[in-house]
Amino acid sequence: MLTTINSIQANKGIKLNKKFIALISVMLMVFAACASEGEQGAQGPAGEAGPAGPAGEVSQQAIDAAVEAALAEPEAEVGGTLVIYSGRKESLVADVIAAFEASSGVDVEVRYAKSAALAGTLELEGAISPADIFFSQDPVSLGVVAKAGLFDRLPADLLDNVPSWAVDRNGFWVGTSGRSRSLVVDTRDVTDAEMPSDIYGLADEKFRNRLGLAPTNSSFIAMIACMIESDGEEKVLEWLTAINGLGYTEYPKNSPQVAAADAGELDIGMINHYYTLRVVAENGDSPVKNVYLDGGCGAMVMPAGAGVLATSQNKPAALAFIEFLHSTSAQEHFTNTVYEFPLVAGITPNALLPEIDSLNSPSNLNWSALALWQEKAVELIAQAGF
Amino acid sequence: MPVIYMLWRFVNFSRSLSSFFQSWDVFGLLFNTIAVFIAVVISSLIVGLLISIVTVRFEFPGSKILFALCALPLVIPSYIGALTYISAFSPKGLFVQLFNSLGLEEIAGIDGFLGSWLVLTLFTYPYVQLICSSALRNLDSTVEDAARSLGVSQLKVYTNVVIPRLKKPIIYSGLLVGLYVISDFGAVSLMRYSTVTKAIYAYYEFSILGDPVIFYSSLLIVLALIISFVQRGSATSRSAKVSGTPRVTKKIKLERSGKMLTYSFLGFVIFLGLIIPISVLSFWLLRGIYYGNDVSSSLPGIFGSFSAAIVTSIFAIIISMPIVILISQYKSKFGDILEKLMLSLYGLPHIAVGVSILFISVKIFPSIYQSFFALVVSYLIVFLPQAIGGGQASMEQVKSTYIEASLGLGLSKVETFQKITFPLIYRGLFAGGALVFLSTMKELPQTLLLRPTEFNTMAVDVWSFASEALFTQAAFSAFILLAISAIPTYILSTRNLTV
Repeated sequence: MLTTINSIQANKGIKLNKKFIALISVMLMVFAACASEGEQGAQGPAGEAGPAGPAGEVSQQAIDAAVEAALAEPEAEVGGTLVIYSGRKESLVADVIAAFEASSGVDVEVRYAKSAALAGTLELEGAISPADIFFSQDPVSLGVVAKAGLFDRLPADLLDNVPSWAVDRNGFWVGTSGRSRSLVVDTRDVTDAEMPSDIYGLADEKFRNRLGLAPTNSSFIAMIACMIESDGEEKVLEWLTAINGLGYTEYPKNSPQVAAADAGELDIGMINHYYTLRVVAENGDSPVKNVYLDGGCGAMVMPAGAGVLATSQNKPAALAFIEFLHSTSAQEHFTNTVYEFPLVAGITPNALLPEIDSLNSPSNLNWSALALWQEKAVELIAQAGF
Repeated sequence: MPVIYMLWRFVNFSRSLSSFFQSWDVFGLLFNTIAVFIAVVISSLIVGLLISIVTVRFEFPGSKILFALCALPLVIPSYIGALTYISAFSPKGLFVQLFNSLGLEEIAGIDGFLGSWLVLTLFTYPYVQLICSSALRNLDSTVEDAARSLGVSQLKVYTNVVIPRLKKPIIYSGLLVGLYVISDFGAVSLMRYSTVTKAIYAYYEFSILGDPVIFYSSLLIVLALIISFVQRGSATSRSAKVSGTPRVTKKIKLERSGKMLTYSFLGFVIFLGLIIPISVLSFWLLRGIYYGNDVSSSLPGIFGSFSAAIVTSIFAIIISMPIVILISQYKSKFGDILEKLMLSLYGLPHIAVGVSILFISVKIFPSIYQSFFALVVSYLIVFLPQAIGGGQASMEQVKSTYIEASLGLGLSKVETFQKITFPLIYRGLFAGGALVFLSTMKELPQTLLLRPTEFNTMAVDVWSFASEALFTQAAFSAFILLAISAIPTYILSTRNLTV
């Protein structure tokens, strides 16, 4: 019986073997293709990829770039490929990037992730980074990259486009739009009278099980960094522990907090202002609104911004992109579609926005100083048990 | 290599361990991880084994279709399952909206440990079901018949004879589920349940360079290796083989009450694992279509998932074939070591492998950094054992007597392989390959960490929309992902390929 089985299955086996050989050869081709692609992708030396060297070296590169740019035509055509690491969400900036691609002819590749994650990635990559631009939603992540010496200094005319509070003091990055920390509240469950005047007032028994926050959100971490800078580690840890003890709902991001407040599931969420305004703009009857605190880090107004990596292979296009972010059309997009504060003079803020001057943000914040506190902020958040 | 690299980084830790334990909530996270691991393994084994026994050993109308329906939640990735449960059973979610007219205003909501446990059980028990049912089908009934003829009761036959003889597939599938639970981060983070995986991702998002990423990845690897080690220790007693042709038990016809019980059990499982997720997703999908959402933005994700899954599964089949033969056919020391190595690969949590491949590609092989190749390599590291498992299960069929007979009849080793071994194992290998295909399609954390710029998969799309509570947008990719992966799963479960 066994031999019959053998003879029946023998043919099958051989047929399959041929298929199999075909499969192997296909796979080898794929393998080869991958390998050669990899070789082309090599941009830096193998081995330890430390920071891009001392600041002097960076500025030397910047000078070279400037000389190169000066030698080119004044209205130089930009082109080639531009790799953007975007900490800003695709839904908020994809249209602006597409418009830049269409008007400049530059082929843009975007890697979307959280700003802090991208800052860490850039530090890890060092000299081998494929990125040309880091476009961040918060100034602390930009500060981390600046501190690591990975940015080129930006030309003065680009820095002068926006007010000085929205610019890195060393000129490594520039703001592109402004946003304020705020609290989203469900007006069905929260009265104005019970709201505190600063962020520390939230650690109160009356807010037990009513608060929401996104502990991994870059802007939340930026706020904690601001609090450490102005009030000291101890007070911040005490506040975080108190909030944790009161019971809170954790969210991965800001926008779900607004959705939860809109659905009546959350009373008060710690967010950036524009998420609420988007919901209000879509549905005028929405019961949610923003509460802007009277002062302190809970009322912080901060820039989203961008910088050019020193290792960029296409600096003319990178600078052109930042210039484009300051253009009237991009600024109007930021204020009318995203509901952020425009930073370039002469652009009318959207009617839903409060007067930026009416917000009592801590004045004279040094973004590079806050970047030094980023790691400590993360540690305190973990230590408080979030 | 990823393990060695992580451990090396761990040893070169930039701060003292004691200060680390003080400032980071290590024990809480570890406790949560182990709690959900134990709970899900136990409940998945109970549900999966019950389904296997009921459908394999009892006869009732529709048992085949019910078996297939029960296996289908396998195609639902835990994060999609979690998404549907979160959106349906949040305090004021769809469920409350549905029964609003009856005066229901708010429910407690499913999240945390309970939510993670429920969702992870629902979408992992099919692994137990598929593996144990095929083992049960091939179980020689001689011993059972002997027990019955000695007057042992029906129930005791199962508890004392059948289940102990299924020890190997039970441990094997329980381990598969357990490692799935340990490496899952999608469901636990949507459920806001703090486990080690969730912590790794959170700290990656803070800054990949920080010590916590390395620390928790190493911790998770060690945890998984311990589990694999325990599994190896208990798997040494192989199920006793009875000589001769295996006899198949006759199926027992169910009485009325038995039928009712069976139908309500299977119906309940299918309702929770299939009907709720699918109807919630359909709701979001239809709502998305009603509001005119643009679906063309999902196309790159579909293409990306497909290319990654196909390339990975083909690689997996090719690489696993010689390994399967080495392990099962030739009882050599090398084969032993290889088997142990492959078993411990099971233990490698995806997110930790992703982190270490990321570090390795940046620091040692910058030419493959952010390349498709690096992504496929990392998929292979975690999914290769599935292909090997499939091949190995079928290799058990290749009795050494067949080989001896063939060699005795004068065939060479190569011919024996062609005529005996390969025809018997190729189905198992392809079943393993199909599993790899499914897993790759569903994979999330490694894809998030390693994907090339502008490379998208459906899983990434679903995840990024779902984490912003944009359920209508997430639904389209989720639906396509399910539609594609349902087909190979269906083939897997109905053609009994895991034998």
